[in-house]
Amino acid sequence: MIHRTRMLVIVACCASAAYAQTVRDVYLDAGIPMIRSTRTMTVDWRTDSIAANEQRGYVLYGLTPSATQLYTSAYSPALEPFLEDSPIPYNFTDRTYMAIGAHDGGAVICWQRLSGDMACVSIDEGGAGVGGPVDIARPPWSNENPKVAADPNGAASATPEGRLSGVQVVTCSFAILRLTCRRFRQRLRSQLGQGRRRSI
Amino acid sequence: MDGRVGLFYILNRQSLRFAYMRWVGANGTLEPEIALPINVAGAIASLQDNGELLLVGYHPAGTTFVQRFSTAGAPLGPAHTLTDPWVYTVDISPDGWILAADEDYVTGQLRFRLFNAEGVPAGPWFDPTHFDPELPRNSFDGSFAPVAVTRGGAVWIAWISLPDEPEPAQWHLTSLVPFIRGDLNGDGRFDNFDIDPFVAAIVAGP
Repeated sequence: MIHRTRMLVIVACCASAAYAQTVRDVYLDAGIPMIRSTRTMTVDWRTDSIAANEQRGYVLYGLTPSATQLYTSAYSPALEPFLEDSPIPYNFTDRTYMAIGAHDGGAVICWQRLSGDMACVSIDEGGAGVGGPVDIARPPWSNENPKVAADPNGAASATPEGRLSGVQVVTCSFAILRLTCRRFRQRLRSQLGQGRRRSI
Repeated sequence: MDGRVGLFYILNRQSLRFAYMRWVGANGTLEPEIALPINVAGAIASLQDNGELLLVGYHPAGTTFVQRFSTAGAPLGPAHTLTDPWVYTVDISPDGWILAADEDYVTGQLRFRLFNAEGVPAGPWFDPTHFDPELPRNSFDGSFAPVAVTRGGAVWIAWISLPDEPEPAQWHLTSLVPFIRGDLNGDGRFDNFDIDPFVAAIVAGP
C-alpha cells in the first residue's frame, strides 16, 4: 500500500512538471516597460477569477471545478506556485448561479439562492470562510447571473449577467432594448466560436 | 478603512438597469441601499486608495465609461468614454489603473489596454499572450474572463489556446509586472537574487 502511494505521488509530480513551465521576457507593447512571465499548466478546473497583490506578491485564483466546489491557488509575481489546489470549505449547494471576486486578502463570493435572493460570503486567502453569508438583494434577479468583483479596499461589485431567454430574444425586435439585441448577436457569435463577449 | 465592505450591484427596473450600492458593516449589519444616478447595462466599481468609488460601466448605447463617485453615491466628475464598443471585461486597481480586456471582433484574438482613472490610455491595445501558429487563437475560457490589474499597472491574465489544446487541457497564466530598476532576473522584485544574472553577465564578458 505504501509502495502504491509513492508511485501515485511520483506520477503526479512528473505529470505536473511536464506541463508546468514558465517563460519570461521583457514586454514593451503595453506602453509601460514590463517583465512578462507566462506559466503553462495542466488543470482540471476552470479559472474563475484572479487577484494579484503587488506588495505580497501572490495571485489568488477562484476556481470552479464543479458547480459546488471552489479551489484557490497562489503564485509569486514570477509565477512560481506557493499554494495550489486548496479547496474552499464552504457549502454552495443553495444556489443557482455563482460568481467570485478576488482581492488581496481573499475573495468575495456571491450567488443567487434558489429563492432568487442574492447572497455573498467572504473567504480569506487560504479559503476559510469569514463570517456567514449575507443576503444582499432580493429579486428581480430572475435569469440573471451575478458577476462579482472585489478589491483590496474592501469593496465588492456584483452585477447581473443577462442570460438569453426566449422572452429576451423576443424583445430584440424592439429598438429600446438594443442591449438585448446586441447580446443576442453576441451569443450567436459566441456559439459559433468567434464572438465578442461581455462579462460585466 | 472602517471595516465596512461596499457591495455594488445592478437591478432591473422595468427593462432598465440601475446601479446600487450598500455597505455591510464589520458586524454584518446591512446599511440602506444607495441608488447611483446612472443607467448602465453592467458595471463594476472599485473603492480607491483615496476613498473614492471608481466605476467602470457599460452604457446602454454600447460604450464603456469611467466615472468617480463618493462613497455616498454622488458623482465627483463627468463620465469619460473608455472604449467604443463594449469590451469583454474590465478590472480596476486601487490606485486607479483600469485594464480593458477584449476579444477582437473579427479574429477572436485577445487584446488588452491600460487606462488611468480619467480614461486616458497608457498605450495602444496589446496582446501579451504567446502566439502559437499551431493553435492560432488565444481566448478566455467559457464565460469567464480572469484578468486582474494591481497598483502600478501590473496585469494578470489566465487564457487558453483554441481550437485544440492538447489533452488534458492546458491553462496559461501571464503576468506583466512593471519593470523595476535593478530587477535583473525579472521577477518583479529588486533583491539579492538579482546578483545572479549580474554575475552571469560579468562572466560572459562583452
